[in-house]
Amino acid sequence: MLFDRKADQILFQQVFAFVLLMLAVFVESGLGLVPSFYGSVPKISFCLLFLIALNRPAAVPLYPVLLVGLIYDTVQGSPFGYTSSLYLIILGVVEWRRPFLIIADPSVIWSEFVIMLVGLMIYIFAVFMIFHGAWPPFAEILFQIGFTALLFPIFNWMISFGRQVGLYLGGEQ
Amino acid sequence: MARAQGDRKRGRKKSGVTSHVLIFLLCISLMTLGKADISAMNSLRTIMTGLTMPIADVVAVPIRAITSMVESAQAAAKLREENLKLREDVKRLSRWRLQAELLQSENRQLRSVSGVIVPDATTPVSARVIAINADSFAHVVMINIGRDKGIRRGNAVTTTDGLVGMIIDVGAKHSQVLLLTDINAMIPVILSSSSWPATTVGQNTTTLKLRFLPAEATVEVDELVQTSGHGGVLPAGIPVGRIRNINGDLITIDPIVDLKRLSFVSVLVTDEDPGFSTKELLDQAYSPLPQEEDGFSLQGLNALGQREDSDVTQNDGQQDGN
Repeated sequence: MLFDRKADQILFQQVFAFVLLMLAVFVESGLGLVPSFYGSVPKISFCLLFLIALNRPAAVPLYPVLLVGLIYDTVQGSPFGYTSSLYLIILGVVEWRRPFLIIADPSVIWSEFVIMLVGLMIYIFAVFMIFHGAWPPFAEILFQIGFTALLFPIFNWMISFGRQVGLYLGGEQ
Repeated sequence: MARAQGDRKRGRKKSGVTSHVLIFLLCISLMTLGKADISAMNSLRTIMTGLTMPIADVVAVPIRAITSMVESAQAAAKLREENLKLREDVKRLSRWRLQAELLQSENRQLRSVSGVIVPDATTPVSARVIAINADSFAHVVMINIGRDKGIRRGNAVTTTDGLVGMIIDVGAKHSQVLLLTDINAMIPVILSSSSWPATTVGQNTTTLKLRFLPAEATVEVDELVQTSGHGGVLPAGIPVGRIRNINGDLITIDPIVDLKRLSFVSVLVTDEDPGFSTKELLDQAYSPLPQEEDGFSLQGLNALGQREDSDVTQNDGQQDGN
């Protein structure tokens, strides 16, 4: 057989996930222009990466995720590898908790996401203090993480809705 | 057979975890190398920024349009109130203009008498802001002009209100601006009414801290702070901010420019290379302290907070001699 249908499907998912994450990164960067989000834009890419890794783990291999993080760091002027390290933590957490989360209620998934965000916040604080030798701006980071936590259910609902539509149109579970 | 499959699966999982950890360590190494300010990393960043800038520019267009629409709607709602305020402002500014013209004329006469050397002229070049910091890790913005317009590292970036920051990275058609609110931004300033020298330090928030202010200095809330020109990187006399709060040694400043609403900026391009380098800045940037007596001298602290033994005039003389 010349074409492997499953491999093609996975490749399509990987390309789609990469494009989606790239779009999220540039939208986040653009949202910095909105005065209310100055310096604390909600992390859309965190929500998307978490949900994609949970529902389609094969769609988010490590290297494209590393690349997306590096591009974000380029646009934002943060140290190279900083955002990629955050993304890799998300991937690691999802991989670890996936057997439990895949059958869990949306509220449980949300609470696990919030717990993960708290962990990420501690990591952000630590990196900030090591890099700048000063206390991080707590209010800004809290606002950013809080807003991200509030946005997560919307993305979760959108992805579930997309899956239902896909199933209705004859796609696979 | 089943055991062999299980072993393969476990082996694949193990190698997956290993590569995950290795890539994470790669990220940490990249961050460390970036902190070490290695030129290859800076060049890589400049190239990558040049490649991603057009996409960031395109994505920012609808967001900017929506933001502008929302702000216009908000402004329309309080148009009458704003009109009254503007009329009052016009009256007040007319009085100020008259006073400014008188002072300008007096200044010109005094300069001709005292033979003061006017600082090098700078040419303002307008630029559009493409991306503003979305995180609090670094306060950096990207603008759409670069080497093609003669931009150099160290050039001051301003708006009509005052200082925004300085250029830290220049590409062919883009530049990165370090905002004065960034934790790495230290701007030598003077207090406009008393001329006491100090340094503003960013905090990665919306305010600045005033440091290295002599103990004898008197500060007032709402006092204007402007660049002193010490260090030779930024021109003197650009408004930086106003004193917001004085709490013992902790003096906070509100930047005079609304950094949340940056859309266009001016880069002050100098004919000569400002010679911006971190080391030179640390070596040269003076925040002079007055002597314990009444008189002024340029002996004082450098940017590292160390007391300098020789004064600036002597240093200049030595350098000339060398």
